[in-house]
Amino acid sequence: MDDFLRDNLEEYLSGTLSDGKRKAVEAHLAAHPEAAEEWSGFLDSASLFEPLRVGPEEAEQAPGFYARVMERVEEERSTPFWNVFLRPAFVRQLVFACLMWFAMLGAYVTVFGTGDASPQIAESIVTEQPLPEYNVRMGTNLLENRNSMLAVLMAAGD
Amino acid sequence: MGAITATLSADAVLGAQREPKVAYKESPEAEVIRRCQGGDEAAFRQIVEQHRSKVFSIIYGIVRNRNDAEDIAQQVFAKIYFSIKGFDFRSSLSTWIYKISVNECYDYLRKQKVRKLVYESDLGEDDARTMENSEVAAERRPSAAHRTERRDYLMKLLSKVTEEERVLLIQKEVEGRTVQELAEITGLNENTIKVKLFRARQKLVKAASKFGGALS
Repeated sequence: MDDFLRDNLEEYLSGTLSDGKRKAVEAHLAAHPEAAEEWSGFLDSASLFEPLRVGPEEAEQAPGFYARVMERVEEERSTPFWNVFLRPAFVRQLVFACLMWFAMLGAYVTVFGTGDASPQIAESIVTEQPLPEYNVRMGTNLLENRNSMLAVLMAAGD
Repeated sequence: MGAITATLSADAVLGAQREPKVAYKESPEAEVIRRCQGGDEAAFRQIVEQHRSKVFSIIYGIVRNRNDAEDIAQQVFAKIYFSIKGFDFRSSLSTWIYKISVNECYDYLRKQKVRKLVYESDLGEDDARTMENSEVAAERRPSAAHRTERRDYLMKLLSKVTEEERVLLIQKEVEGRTVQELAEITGLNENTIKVKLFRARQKLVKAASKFGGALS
């Protein structure tokens, strides 16, 4: 009998079911409340499509559609292939992929990257004072900055 | 909920699972497609003329803006022009075209959503107040907003079914095709179409209950 419901659902929704069959369906639903609940869900979901329906006069297009399509085709044909890399969607995906990559890398380093470093060692590194010759002072004077950098590099070379 | 499904005959369900191989390559439109694949522009024109009206009405039904619908329809056919060589006859041409059309609409809605967010964030407080007080806007807002809201909700639900189910539902509910017509278009038998639609509808109801929204 439930095959009967399924078989008649589409015609019922389109309103093309004969009176006799419609009455039989409704009688069946009255006797099976669980099936009736599901049936009512189908009716509700079908009603959601209503705003998408378009009348024939609304669907009329201006003449020359084919010519406009071919213009579009020509436009796309003349667009260089690297334009695909400049599309916002591509850039968004690229940024997302980079972020994912950094997140994965960060997670990997957090989980496996600590190696043998114990908290004590880490602490000593943090509290360690830099050697005087490595103490680079950067200011607004470019010449001084350069000299300071050179001094550090020379000290490192030794 | 599963009361109807539970007693579906095994034949009907298996019938949908063991779909008959449809010989789309032997269909009358196959010759036109092959000519189009070979670069025949007259064949492409034939395809455009044959499908443009349906494509436009599906797109217009979703976006409800003539200029945008025209633009999307052009984009759909330009896409078909460039990708028809890859069409492998696994479905009918119209099903393939409808899939492209619906996907383009999803793309459009996504872009529109982003554009709206950017626009709203760019509005100053005064602009926003002026817009709110606008008489015309107030007059139009309830029905247009409600329709957009319902449309967005439906598109969200439709994203939960397969492309094939989505196209079947749209052809049935929006174009008003009968099961018999769908069977002719797809080359499947009527019982298979009924089972497919039934499953698609079940998925919609399930998705709706998941989203917690009222269906109507």
